[in-house]
Amino acid sequence: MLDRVRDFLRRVRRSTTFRYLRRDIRAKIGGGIVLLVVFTAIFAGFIARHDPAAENPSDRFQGPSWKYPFGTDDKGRDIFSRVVYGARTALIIGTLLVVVEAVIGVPLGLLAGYRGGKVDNLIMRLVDAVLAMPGLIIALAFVAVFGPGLYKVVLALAITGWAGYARLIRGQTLAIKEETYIEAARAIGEKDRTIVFRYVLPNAISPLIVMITMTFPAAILLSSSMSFLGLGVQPPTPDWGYDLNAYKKFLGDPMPGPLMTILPGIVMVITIFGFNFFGDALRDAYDPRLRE
Amino acid sequence: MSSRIPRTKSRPAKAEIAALSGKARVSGEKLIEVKSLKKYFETKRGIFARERKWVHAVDDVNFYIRRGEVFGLVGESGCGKTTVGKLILGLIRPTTGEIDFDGHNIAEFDKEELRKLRRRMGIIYQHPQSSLNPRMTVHTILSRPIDIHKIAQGEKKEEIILKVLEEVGLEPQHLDRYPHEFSGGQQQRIAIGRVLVLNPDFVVLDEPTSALDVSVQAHILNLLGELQSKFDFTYLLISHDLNIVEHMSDRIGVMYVGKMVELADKEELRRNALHPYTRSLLAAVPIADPKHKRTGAILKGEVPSTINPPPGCRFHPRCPYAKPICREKEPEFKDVDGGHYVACLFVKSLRHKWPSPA
Amino acid sequence: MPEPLLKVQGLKTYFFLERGVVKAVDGVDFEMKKGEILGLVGETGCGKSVTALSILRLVQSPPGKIVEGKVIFEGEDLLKKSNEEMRKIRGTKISMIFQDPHTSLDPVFTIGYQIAEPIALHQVIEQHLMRAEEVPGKVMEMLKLVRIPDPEHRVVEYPHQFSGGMKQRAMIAMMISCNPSLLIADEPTTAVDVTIQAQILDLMRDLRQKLGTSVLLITHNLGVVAEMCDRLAVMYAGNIVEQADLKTLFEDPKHPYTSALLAAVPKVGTKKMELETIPGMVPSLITPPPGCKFHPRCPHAMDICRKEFPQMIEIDKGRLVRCHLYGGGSKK
Repeated sequence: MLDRVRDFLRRVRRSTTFRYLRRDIRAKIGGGIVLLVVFTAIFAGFIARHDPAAENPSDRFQGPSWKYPFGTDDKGRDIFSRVVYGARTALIIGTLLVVVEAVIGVPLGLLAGYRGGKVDNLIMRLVDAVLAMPGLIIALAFVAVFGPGLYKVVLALAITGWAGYARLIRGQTLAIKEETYIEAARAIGEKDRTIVFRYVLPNAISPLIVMITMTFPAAILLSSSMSFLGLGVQPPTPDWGYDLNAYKKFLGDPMPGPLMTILPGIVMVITIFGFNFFGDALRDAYDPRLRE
Repeated sequence: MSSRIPRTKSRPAKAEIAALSGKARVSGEKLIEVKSLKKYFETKRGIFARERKWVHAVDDVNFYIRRGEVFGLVGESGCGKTTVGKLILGLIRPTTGEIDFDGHNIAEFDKEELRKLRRRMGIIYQHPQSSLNPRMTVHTILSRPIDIHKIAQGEKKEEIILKVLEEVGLEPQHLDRYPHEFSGGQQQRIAIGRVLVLNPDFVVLDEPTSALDVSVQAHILNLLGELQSKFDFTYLLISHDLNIVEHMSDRIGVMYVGKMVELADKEELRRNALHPYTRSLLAAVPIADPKHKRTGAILKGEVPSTINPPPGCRFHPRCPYAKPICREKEPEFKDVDGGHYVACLFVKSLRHKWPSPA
Repeated sequence: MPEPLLKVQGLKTYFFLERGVVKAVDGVDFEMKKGEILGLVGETGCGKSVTALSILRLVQSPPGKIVEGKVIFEGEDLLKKSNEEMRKIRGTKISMIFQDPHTSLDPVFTIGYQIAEPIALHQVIEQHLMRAEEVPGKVMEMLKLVRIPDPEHRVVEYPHQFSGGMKQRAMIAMMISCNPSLLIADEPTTAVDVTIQAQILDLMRDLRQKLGTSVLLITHNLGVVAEMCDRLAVMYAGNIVEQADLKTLFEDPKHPYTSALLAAVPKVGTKKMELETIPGMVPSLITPPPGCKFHPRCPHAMDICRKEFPQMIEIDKGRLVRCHLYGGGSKK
């Protein structure tokens, strides 16, 4: 098992894509930010100094200091710790969203692409319809009916989000289906099901990686929007969007008022930027046309 | 979609097919026989097309392949030779016609029976790199056929894989590598290994060396020849390169625009080709010998389209001997001389025009 | 002895890639006389195409670069010319036809337009050899010359309406419209059917006779070479290893690679079941073997072959070999 992983890493390192990535400044900067965020999310417990939900009425409205790097909010909570744990929330949402959207979208895309004909038509019409829907609005409608919360947010966003995965995989499948090695697989007696999972899917993965990378910033932005409107992640779970909303009323106040919204806002922007930057670099690294 | 052939009673049960994997050592008997084989493809003409147009890829072809022989199938682009190969393998279903493999009409097999049939057949493609799954190691590529048909497991399976590697000239350290890490010639060897692992009766070689360099071509052709005698394979060698076909085949069939126009033993075809197209083809092939003078006039005109083939004899627009009747009547593919088949209305009179066979 | 039409001396074209420097052409010398057909033969990667592109300075400039050498055409070194001067030479004095006719023609312009373009540009505008009104007539003349049937109707058709063979002929028409002295043909018939190939080759021979065009024919197909060429140069891993006239080369090949290559070709009429093979693989062009690049695969390799790169030796009139079996060590 371990050497499967080692083997995979070796293949990745030797791959042309990786070599292109290494030279791309966007990959380095974006990748650096992504790693930083991931690290923060995982080791939130060690990085944050205080319990993000702990209220210290005696320490309210403090500016940034050694004890409270981002200051405290109106209830005396350490904003820095909230932001740190907020990263964890953001990444959990992103990961869950990727999983749900892929689990729905990828098999549908494979089915549509491989089978073709009426099945393809049916699925693609559904995909077209879903893609035409405004994702955020639908998500808001969903939580309006079923109530807010982290998991409901993921579900709400996934209702429309899977369509992008399906369309991408279908396109890949259509192209791969025409390759000689697929016919060769049939020629040795492979069953269709095996062909889809062992021949088509592994070769369709590459653009999927880019899509997965780009799902994160979208997830963060959308879920934060929902939380900003009070319809997303609920307290006590720390969430960037929630905090942005909660602290916006202090923007007009004297310092450290505005910092309460601005600092988490900057962190969020940098995170989204980092993922996007890395995703762009990744997309270009995969593109055979940009090769030497 | 091709029309479904109605089922008859004489089809073997699925279990029997799997058991038919032993190769009888009786050479000379017919392993494969193709009768009135037709394959038409529908062209996609868009929403405004009124009539459906058909590509007459294979249009009433009849021949047989003997066990143990190398049957060469030549022709230019669009003649249907590759389609014939895939029809015999069951990778494409015929529009109409019969394809007998070891006595069973596979045109009537259902999907599952065809899949089991793969145990006894193999194919080598023109472009070795594209015929191998880029995400599978050599070991996996060679294991798949064994696993699918449950031939062996564990140690026995590894033994087979190692032996096959040796036969095709590869090494055990190649097992963990991926296809793109190999040269074209090595990739073709992997593809040959994939066929060898099943020890099939019948192998289709679809332009096996066209994409390879001259020196590599020699290696691969030699290997294919060796393996054939070692393992008693029956080959259908499809190629546009007459030199290769002549080198390897026992009998050769010539196809033109979906039809077979001539079939004969290799020697007989070389010395005494009877169809005007075959003669032009032989004359057109460049020989790597400066002393060789081109015999025969250069054929005029273009290779016709298979969507609207010329009426009557398909070769008549380019045939230097065409007469008005050739435009109207399609010639029959007949045996004119002990196994030498020709489809030409004037074969008898033309024979006398040409220089007598050496 | 008239001056040769083309004289390539010490040509070296390297490609500077991340993984190393690919020495695609590593010191190539040859000459061409007026009106002759010289075949440049070799397998994939031997550098024949890059040599052709280097002559016309069409090598993609990063990453490729002509690092050394002279290409003397009609007395002038092409490598010293400016881009503008080269542009005027391409299509007029030296033309090139490529392997794949399907991708060489622009799909959005008619065949007539594409053939007319070089004529209009070079002969009317630049050289004032013709008036604009004469161009359509010249286009028709070219179509007839390359034997395209029904030219009046074909001239307004688009490439997709032409078959492969006809596209190739259209391209030839385009390229010889300005009557070049040298036509470089890079695998002109590889992508085309056998009977069509015969037509195209016949056409090329005809053109050589009618117009006196010299042809540098690049191919890996020894049959085509045997039919078409007056002389041959065999390339291996970036160098020419043997040059001779056609008959001599086929009958009495001197370089071990040449003999191996000739023996590896299945010929119609031979009875042998086993083809001769060359052991080993084509060497890396980034790190070629020391000494003679062929030595690891050569059945006659000697000690000196491993150490010293052989020079080209003229063992007879017009007969050159690069092999230690015939001398080729560096002379003092």
